[in-house]
Formats: sequence, C-alpha cells, structure tokens
Amino acid sequence: MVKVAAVNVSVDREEQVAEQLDRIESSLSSLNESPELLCAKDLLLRPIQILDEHQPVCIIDLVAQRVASSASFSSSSSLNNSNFNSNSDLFGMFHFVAHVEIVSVLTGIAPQMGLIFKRDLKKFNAIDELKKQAFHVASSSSSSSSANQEDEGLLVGDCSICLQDLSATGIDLIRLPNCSHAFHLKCILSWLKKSDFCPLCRDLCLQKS
Amino acid sequence: MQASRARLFKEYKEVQREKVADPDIQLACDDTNIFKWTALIKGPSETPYEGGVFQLAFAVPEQYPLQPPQVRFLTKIFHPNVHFKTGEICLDILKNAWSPAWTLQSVCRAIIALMAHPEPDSPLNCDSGNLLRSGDIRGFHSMARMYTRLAAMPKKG
Repeated sequence: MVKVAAVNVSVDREEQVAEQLDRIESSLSSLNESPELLCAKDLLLRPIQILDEHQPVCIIDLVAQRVASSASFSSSSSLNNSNFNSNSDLFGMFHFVAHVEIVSVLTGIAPQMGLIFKRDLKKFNAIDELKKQAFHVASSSSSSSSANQEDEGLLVGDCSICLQDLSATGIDLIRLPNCSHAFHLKCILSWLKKSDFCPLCRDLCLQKS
Repeated sequence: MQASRARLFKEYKEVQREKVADPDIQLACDDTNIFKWTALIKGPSETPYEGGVFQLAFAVPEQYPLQPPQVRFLTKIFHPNVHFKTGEICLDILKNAWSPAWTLQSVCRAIIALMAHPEPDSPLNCDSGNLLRSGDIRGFHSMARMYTRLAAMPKKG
C-alpha cells in the first residue's frame, strides 16, 4: 500500500486555525496535480451531514469554525502502474477514509461531546449512485411509456419507513438495486445513515451483488 | 410535522382501522402524548400464558422509526427473556436487528411469538432460563402458569 496523500489538522488555539487551513488547502492543491485523486479532493469539500436535523457542512468548514478538533483525510492506493487494469473496479484499487473528531462544539452543531464521525468513500459513492437513480411519479394521468407503467405497477402501497403513500406525485422515490424494494428517497437516505441493510429484506443494499 | 409524529399518527389511524382484525392485540396511544403507547396482548394458546392478558408499555424515541421503541412488560411475567422486576424484554428486533419496517403492531406480534418460543440461551430471567436449559419443562410451565394466574388473569369472586 502506497500512501498518496494525507491531511491532518488539529485545532487547539485560535492562532493555529489559519495555519491549518493553509495546510489543508496546500494539500488540496497537491491533490489537484494527480487527476485520479480528484475525487479525493471532492470528499474534503463535499458537504457531509454529521448529525440529523443539521445543515450539511464541509470538513474544511468544520476546521474553520473550530468545531473539529482534528480532521484527517487519507487515501491509500495499492495501484502499480505495471499492473494497472482498466477493467477493474476503482474501489478495488483505492480506499479513502475521511475522519473528523468533534470535541469542542459551537452553535449550529448539536451539543454532543466527543462525537466521532467516520465515513467511507465507498458508502458515499454508493449513496450518490443511489441518488442518481431517484425518480418520481410525474402525474397520475400520464402513463404513456411502458417503462413508466412498469414502475408504477410496482409502486402500489406505502413507503415502509414513513408509511405514507409511495405513488404521491412529485416526491422522489428510489428502488434499491438488488432487492428492488421501493422507498421515498429522503426516508431511505436517513435510514442508510444508520444501517447498510434494506429495511424490508435485510439485503446489503449498498453493495452490488 | 416531525417525521416520527407523522408516522405514529399514521400507525394510530391504522390501529383504529384494524382493531377487529387482530383480536390478540389492543394498542392504545396516550391521550396527551403520541410517543407513549400501551398494549394489551393475549397470552398465546398452548403456552403457560394462555388465558392471561399482559400489558406492555411503549416509549417511542424522537428518532422513530429509525430507532426502535422501548418496550417493557407492565404485567409480571415468568419468561426467560423478560426481566422479572423491570419487565425489560430481550428481543433482537428491539435492539440491533431493528428495521423501520416494523410497526408498533408488528412489534406486539413479535413479542407474542417470543412468549410462545422462549430463547433460554439469552436469559434476562436466569431462574426461568435455567429451568428450561436443564430440561425441566414441567417446572417452567408450572412457574409460568402460576404467575400468569396471579398477575395476568382477572381475579375471580
């Protein structure tokens, strides 16, 4: 395993904040130089939701607000130019971890001390992938295409998370890739923050079968 | 409206509609607090709990249905997976195997199933678990029967 890039920040004193932000930013620009790591930069700048009922924030903002006592990002790669195989899954070669520890808590973030946040990019991307597949029932009267009809045929009933009707128009829906169980997008996203399993069949729904 | 509130309200309406459908379960919501529920469940037949009516108390968390409700027996019951003093229930779906697809109604059904099929290998009531594990089915039955009669059946005369 070759360590490609790492950002480590710990915020103890006010005067250190600017310095640490500089460090992150220089790390980010070094990431820019290697195109295959652009998605890693994305991870640092992408808003993440740390606690329910709060606006998503970026790791870099957390540091700026001195909410995070330490933020670290590392990406390691087992990739060798010699055995590069363009067909293999990107995730087989790279593994990214973002890690933020929140110790001092400012306004805007719930008062939970010592919360540790860890998230795998793999899950990030799987959820992103899932969001792309969201669809909604545009209007009950227009069921023109056969694909639409097929979708609607399976959408009888309620979302088993909120128990509200699935076929209500204009609400984003999702069908999980392996088991095809349908939910409201916002409902399944809030559940997948806690679990990797489909609520109905316990299928590991973020992994491709 | 808060997601948990909306969902509980939906369950409340469902319970009103299904009241006749499941005669073994009577779920009721606290008049003033939709996060507090009680249930009356009938002891399953061909078990020492048959003929008894057991009261359950539900405390539903704000995060419901992403987090399971806390359920305990208010009626004393002699069962390996129920704490004899506190009524706490050891059941996987109320802990790590929780899924938001469960409802308060289906949790009641799961508890009835647990009454009929005790798991003596994860006991909260050691006396009860030991009776079953040592193979003293008769001893377990008579103890469970006695407490059902004492606590879960209406007094006669």
